[in-house]
Amino acid sequence: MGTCFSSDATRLRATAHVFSGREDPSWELTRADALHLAELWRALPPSRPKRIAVSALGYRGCSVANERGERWTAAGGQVTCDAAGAVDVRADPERRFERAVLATAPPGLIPGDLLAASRS
Amino acid sequence: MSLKIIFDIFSGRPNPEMMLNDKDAKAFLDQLGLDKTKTVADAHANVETRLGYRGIIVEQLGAAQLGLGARFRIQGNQLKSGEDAFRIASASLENGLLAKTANVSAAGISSELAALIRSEASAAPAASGASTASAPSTAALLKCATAPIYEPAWWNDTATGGVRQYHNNCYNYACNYRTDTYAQPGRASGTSFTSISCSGMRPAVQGDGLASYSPNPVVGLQCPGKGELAAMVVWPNWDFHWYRLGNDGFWSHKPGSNPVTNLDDSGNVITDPRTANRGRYTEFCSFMVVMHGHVFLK
Repeated sequence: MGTCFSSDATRLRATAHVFSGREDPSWELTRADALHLAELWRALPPSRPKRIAVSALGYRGCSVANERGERWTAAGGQVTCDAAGAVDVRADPERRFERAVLATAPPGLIPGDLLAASRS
Repeated sequence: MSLKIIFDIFSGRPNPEMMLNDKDAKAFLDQLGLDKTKTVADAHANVETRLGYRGIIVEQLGAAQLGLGARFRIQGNQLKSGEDAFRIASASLENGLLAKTANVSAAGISSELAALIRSEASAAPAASGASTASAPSTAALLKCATAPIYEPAWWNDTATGGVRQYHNNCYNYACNYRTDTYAQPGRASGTSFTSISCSGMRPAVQGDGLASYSPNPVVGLQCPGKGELAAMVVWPNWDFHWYRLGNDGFWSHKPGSNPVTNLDDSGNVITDPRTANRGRYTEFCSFMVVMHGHVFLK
């Protein structure tokens, strides 16, 4: 299980991996959002890592990192947490975690159709 | 018999889906105008590997109709079921499907997403009878003596920590200029870009020392007398992107912190960034010339 989300106390910062030239959009999550993500993460079943085909240009997934250096990456129906080198992989075929992260983006920060997709 | 309609549009996100009941399913299948004598060769070649809109996937839930498989794909006026491909009478089926507000609403497809699907469907390249990933003719390639070597391994260094790959972007790569700062046009010269548009980016880029390519070509390209050719494109209001010409005559690019590649979003080698599949980076701005010693990035 690793140490991912072993504590909900730290602040989380989300990033949408979407741009090429500009820095990817990044934003801080509220405590409520962080707790919701922790809940979603814990509900995901462990999975064997699968190779995710990322697009060359455009949206490639999103990630969340906390102050302890734990980092979740969500793409292609899989969420991976890297905590101090220990990798925990969970299946998320409905991309609930990924969509939940994108849905927390402040208005105007990421392209509207990504947000629309996260809500549909 | 009902149908599940999947709009195959996303890569990282789940595709929007819609269910058709018996009545709507029958109407949809009738509307296809399928004539199985009208076969086409190699339809939808490489469609599945494209970015962007790839057509409708139909899943027949129940007894399969029309002699088609339980799952088939429609793009434009072509239908592919298993290894068989046919021309159909209807095209733009997306408009009809998305006009059924009850189905759209039940599927949770927002009006914004529906508009995106319509837009992408109308703009999607037609399925052709030829493979889009075939090797291009090398006869027309522009091979410039001053162009840089295509050496992706130098930039794609994740095996050794990834400092070059993760901290240098398309602009660094196109200018062949490593800063490890994710260089931004105008940051070095203090000429920030005013908008993410061609006109808004250009002063910032010129401030960094990139030179205009003159004359701006309508069709043909020529090697610059000095320096290296690069090309700027934008995803209007959201992002910019760059390509560079290598001495092998192919263009290559570095999508953000991702690896350097000489393939476009269709998986084809890039012989001209104006015609490459650039995904959302729809606006081609211009070619520019990078002269080392004259360019400063930060």
